[in-house]
This record gives sequence, C-alpha cells and structure tokens, in this order.
Amino acid sequence: MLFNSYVFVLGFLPLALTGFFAACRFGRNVAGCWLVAASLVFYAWWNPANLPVLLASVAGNFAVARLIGATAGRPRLQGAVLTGGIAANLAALAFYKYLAGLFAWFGLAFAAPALPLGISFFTFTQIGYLIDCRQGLARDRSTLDYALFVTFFPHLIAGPILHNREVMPQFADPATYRFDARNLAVGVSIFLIGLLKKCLFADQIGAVVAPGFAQAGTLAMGGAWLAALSYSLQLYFDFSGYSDMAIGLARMLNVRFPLNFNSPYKAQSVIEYWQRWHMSLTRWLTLFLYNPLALAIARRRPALDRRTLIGFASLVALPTIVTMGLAGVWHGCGLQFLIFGLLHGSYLTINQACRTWRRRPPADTRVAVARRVLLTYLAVLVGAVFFRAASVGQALAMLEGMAGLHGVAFAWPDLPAVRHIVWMVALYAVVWGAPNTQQIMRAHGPALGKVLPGPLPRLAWQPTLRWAVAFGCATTLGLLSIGGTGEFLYFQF
Amino acid sequence: MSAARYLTVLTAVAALCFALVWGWVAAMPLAYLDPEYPAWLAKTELLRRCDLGEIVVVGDSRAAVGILPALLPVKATNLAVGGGHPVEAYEAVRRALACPVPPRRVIVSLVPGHFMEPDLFWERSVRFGFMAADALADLRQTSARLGDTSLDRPKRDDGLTPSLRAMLFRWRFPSLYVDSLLKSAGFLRLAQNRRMLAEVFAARGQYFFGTANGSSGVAAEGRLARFGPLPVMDAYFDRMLSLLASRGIPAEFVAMPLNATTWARVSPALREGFAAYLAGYTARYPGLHVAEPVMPHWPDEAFGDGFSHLNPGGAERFSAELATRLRTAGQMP
Repeated sequence: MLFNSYVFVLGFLPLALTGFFAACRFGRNVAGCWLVAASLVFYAWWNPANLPVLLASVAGNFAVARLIGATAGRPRLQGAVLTGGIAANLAALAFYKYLAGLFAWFGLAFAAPALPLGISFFTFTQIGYLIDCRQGLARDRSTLDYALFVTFFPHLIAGPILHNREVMPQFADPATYRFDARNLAVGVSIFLIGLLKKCLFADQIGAVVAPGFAQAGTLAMGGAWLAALSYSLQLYFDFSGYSDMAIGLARMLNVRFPLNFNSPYKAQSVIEYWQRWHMSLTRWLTLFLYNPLALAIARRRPALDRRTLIGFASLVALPTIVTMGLAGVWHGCGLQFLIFGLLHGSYLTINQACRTWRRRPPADTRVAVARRVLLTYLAVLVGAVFFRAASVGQALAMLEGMAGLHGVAFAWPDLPAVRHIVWMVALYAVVWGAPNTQQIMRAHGPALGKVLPGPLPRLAWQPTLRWAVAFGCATTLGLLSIGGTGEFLYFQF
Repeated sequence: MSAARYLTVLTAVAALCFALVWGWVAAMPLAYLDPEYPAWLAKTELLRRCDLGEIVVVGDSRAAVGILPALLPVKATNLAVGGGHPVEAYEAVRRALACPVPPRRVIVSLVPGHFMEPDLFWERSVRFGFMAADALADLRQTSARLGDTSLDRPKRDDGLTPSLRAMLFRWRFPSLYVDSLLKSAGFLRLAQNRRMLAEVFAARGQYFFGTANGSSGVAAEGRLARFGPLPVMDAYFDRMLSLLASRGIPAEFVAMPLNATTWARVSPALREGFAAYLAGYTARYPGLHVAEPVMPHWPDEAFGDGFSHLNPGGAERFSAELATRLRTAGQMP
C-alpha cells in the first residue's frame, strides 16, 4: 500500500488510528497486536505473496536474537550465531535482489522471484538489532515489541532504518498507548508536508525524467541538464517526502522516528551531504560497516597515523570506499549502482583528505559558502545520474549530453518547457531558501535528533487558526494530487 | 488553540476546499481538460442529438483526422475518436442505431494497434465520459467472461479497483483530473476548448492533430511484430458488425494511410495477420466490405505528426478519394 493512495489515506489510516486508540483501552498488548496486524495488512496489500517472506524474516531473526542472548557466556559460540544470522539475512537479500541479475550477467536463465517490498530496509534493521544483541545493547526482548519494531508500518517498506534503542523503549512506554491530540496534530501536519512534497513537487517535476533518460544518447546539452536536474529534485522531494510521511504517521501513533533528511542540498561538502541525506542509512553504514572496518584495520596496524599517506589510505580511504561501494550495491543490482557508490566513496575520501591536510579553515563568506554548496551539489548530481540510469552506458551518455558532446544547440523552449523551468526554479527556491519540515515543526520535537534552527520564524508551526487553515488547504491539495502520482522511488530498494 | 480544535478547523477547511474544487471540476470540464476533450464532447453531443446524417465514421484518431464529412457526397458525421478501439466504435454505432433515423452506412477505420492494446481507454473514453455506466459494466462483464484483463493493465498505484475508478470518473472526482487542473491552472483552457468545440461541431466531428507539412516519424505499426487482437477487442468488433448486419446496414472498413517511413518498417507478419483477420470477418458478414489495401501508405509529406495523422492537405486528398470511391462503386446510401 502506498502512503499516497486513496486506500491508505481514506481507508487504512483512519481505520488503523481508530482501531489503535480503541485497542489502547484494553491495554498495551492488545494495542500492540493491533498495530502489528495492521502493519501486516499494510504490507500484504500490494502483493500478499510477500507476507511469508517478511514473517519468516521476523521469526528467524527473533530466534537468532534469542540464541545470541542464550549464549551470552560463550563469546565464540555467540559470535558464530551472530555470523550465521547475518549470513542468513544477506543470503535472503542476495537471493531476492541480486541472484537474477548475476545469472543474467553470465547469460543464464533464472526465474527471478518477485522482490519483496522493503526487503533491504527490514533486513538492515534486523541485522543492526542482532549486532546490538551481541554487544548487549538490545535489552528489550519482548516478542511483541520486536515484531512491532520491525513491522511498524510507517517505516516498514522504505525506512527510516530504525535503531532498536531509539524505538523499542517507546513501544515499551505506556504513554505510547494513550490518545494524544497534540501528537496527532503534529503528525498530521508533518504527514501533509510529506504528501505535498511527494505528489505535488516530486511527481510533477519528474514527468520529464523518464523520457529524458530514455533518450540520453541524443539529448543536447540543455535537455540533458534539464533531465538530470529534474531527477535530482524528484529524488529529493520523493524520498524526503516519504520520510516526512513516515515520521508524521509514527507521530500520530505517539512514536518519534529519527530524522532522515536535513536539507541535504544545502550541504557544503560531500561529508556533510551524507550527514544530511538518508541519515538513518548513513548512521547504519557508519555503525555497522565503516566503524568495524576502520577499527579492524587500526587494531591490526596500530602504528598507522592517518596523517601519513599510507595511514590515510588504510584507515580512511579503504573503509570509506568499501562502505560506499557496498552502499551503492545495496541500492540495486547493476554496475551503475556500484559506480554510484564508488563515486561517492571517492568524493568522501577526497573530502577527508582535504580536511586532514588543509592548512587553514575554509572561508566563511557568502560567496565561498555558495561556491561550496554548488560544488557539492554538482558532485552529487553526477552520482545521481548513475543512480537513475538504467545502465552505465546510459549514465555516460547523459553525462556526455550534459558536457555538450551531443551538441549545445538551444532552441527557444515551448510553453510546457518554460513552465517546467519555472517550476524547477521554484523548487530550487524551496530547496535552498525555505526551512525544511523539521525546522517548520521545530517547536514540537518533530523527530529524534537535533533539529537545526530554521530561517523565517513566522514559518514555525503552531496549532493556530492560521496554520489550521493553511494545512486544511494543503490537505485538499494533497488529496487532489494523489490521483496523478506514481510509486515512491525508494520502493525498488 | 487546542490541538483538537486545530484538527477540527483543519478538517473543516479541507472539506470545504475539496467540495469547492469538486464543484468546479464537475461543472466546468471545458475549463481545464486537455484540448481533445471538446472533440469527444462534440461527438457525444452529435450522438445525443441524433444529428448524424446518412454516413457515420467510427474508429480512431487517424479516421477522426483524415475523413472530412464536408467532402463526402452526403451528409455524414465523423464519430471516430483519438485512441479509439472497437469498444468505442461499437458504442458509437449502438447509440447511432438507437436514433429515430439511423445512418444508412457506417465507415469503420481502426489501426491494428487498437485491436491489440487498450492504451488510452481510461485516459480518454472513461475520463472524458464517452462510455456510459451501463456500457462500462457491460464491457467489464465481457472482459471477465473472456478472461481478458487487458483493460486493467498496467496495474495502477492509486489503490482503486477498476469499477471504483470508473465510478469516480463518472462523478468527476477531482483527484483524477489533477494533472489537467495543474496544466490549465484550473481555467486557462476554457477559451481554447470552446473554440475547438465550435470547430469540431462545424466540421461534423472531424479535427486535426499535427498539421506539419510532412512527418517522417515512425508510428506504432513500425514497432509491432505481428497482429494479435485482444479477446475483448475482437468481441466488440464482432458485436459491432453483428449489430450492423442485424439492422441491414452495410459497413465499409477503410484503412487510413501510413507514412512511407513507417511503412518501410512494417513487418510482413503484421500486415498479413491484419489482412487475414479482416478477411475472416468479410467471410462472416456479407455486409462488410474491406477497402484494399488494408495498410495503404502515402509519402511523408501528407502527414502532420509522428503518429501518421494526415495533415490538412492529406486529409482533403483522402476524403476526396473516399468520396469518389463511394460514388463510383455505387456504395452511396
């Protein structure tokens, strides 16, 4: 079920909320069971055949988590259980996501099973949980809380990737199971912002992306830039819109999710970009991939100094590039995803090198800041071309077009093109000039994590008449927009 | 303001705004729908008024463009519609034959692709209100009986069942028209659409798509490997011919020309399959005459866009030739 579908907005959501708050009267367990059941219905709606995969994954991981707990006094056995659990998760992911691609790579026929929605997300969430169990950080072992942690519908199919420590205590808290009008008001408002981002911004600007990339080989410079820039806007508004909706939905149910986007296109470096883009994935990669890798290298060669060339290559460049390469492949089976990851790995390495050997701090003037933001955005844009392209060839063709290798002829744009460009300019104004969702909602603790103060204090949300009218109009726009929309870009991952 | 009061005001404002938009969408489709809508509206209105004449033309956009009723030897009406399939053709014939003075001859013109894929069915026939509720229900029953789910493909993301979506289209539920509302800012197409409506009325249903002085674009026929009608399209084509036969009204299948560029890419399997398909029907229905060739082709200069729609010069030439053919073959009603 999509968040931006009638069946969700007008059917599932009111029913899930009403049922939840009604079930709360009968106690925490009943309410929790209701949420798990609703989440399973939500998950199975698109394709019921996916449900057994999710159930098997939850049951299997819960059993492994129990086993890890039971072997606490035997570290080697516990390590083996953890390794087995992680291997089983990765094997399932590989089976559904990569096997068909690998067979095709070798020219072999393979009847690929349908990719279960959100498998990458719930697999990563659970791997993180297993590792935390091993480290003694996951204390809540209740079956219901675990099932709720994994299947909770606001995050189930496209994140944010939750950490058990920030969410499971909330499921254990009796306050979560009481109706709270303030949380409902905040959640509804965040959800509406996300709905508008997705339906009104992302889907409208994305109309030129598919035809643009399909004709990548023949697009002249203007068309290629238009398609690439449109895609970067579409991706941002699509995914951050989805994240806002997820955060809003959770908040309606008295649960606070972590921040997942923090105006990433305002980043002044690629390092900062990854601290602002898909933040829950960055955190997961840092915690469970980068840090263990870097630590392992540091332990093996304790004399290394990261300010030497060898030290930097071993302690920073290698783990960064390996982590980002795997992050790229996590997004999909295809060489273009690997290149996307390696490209960002290289950016991050260069960025780290600059920080390591820089002699003076970067200038703080407006021009210098704008230059850094623009440079970061362009670097990210090149990566986005690989991310969107159907193949490496298509990505290279698009980049050639952007470089003018297919011609630089500019024709006077027709009316639809002018309208599109005006729309793009408006969206860039939102991206670079407007406060983000968390900043708008900052007075009400919209999400876990530090929310930066935003510009324009008048744009800070409060439950006032003015905001109620504004969001009432936004609700209309959101409901209207549902009809002409497509699926979220991140569902494919 | 308390959170509960905030939510109440928000809901009330949303309901009010939505109702206002819905009212506008239902009342003023000419103000926002795309410029093909007035053409469909004109045809629907001509059918409602039973202002048809002796010949009606049914079929798809190439026929809608290329057959000028004004050039035919008797009063005629062009009821062919953009993206039309046998389903719409049958529906137009059914309504035409229900008139007190039905047409005396029907010209049918459909390209092979419109037997094979109901690509624009929802976006045109249902969205524009051409298919009445009972006709849609009948179509769904027929599809179900034949096990043909093509009308429900591709699967949409809106979570609506096809019957619910059809009902919402009938009620002009505004969310289903949001693209048009955005592109027209809600009202900017009104003058243009009114002008188009008047023009299509004046031309008795004929209207143009591309009007360039030539096109080398490859139309859909250049990409089809072979001909294979969908069961539901075949059933409606059969049903239309059967209805005409039962009323003793002759039908003339007239294929519209392709441009030379497309013709060069048409696969023999497609051409032969389509010809054999039509030949099968002429054997079953003596009142059906298929004009040869079944896939005529003209120089690119006669076409106005990449879909092999004739330009004004090409349409005049085609209509004049059709009029001559109707006269000389003694096929005048």
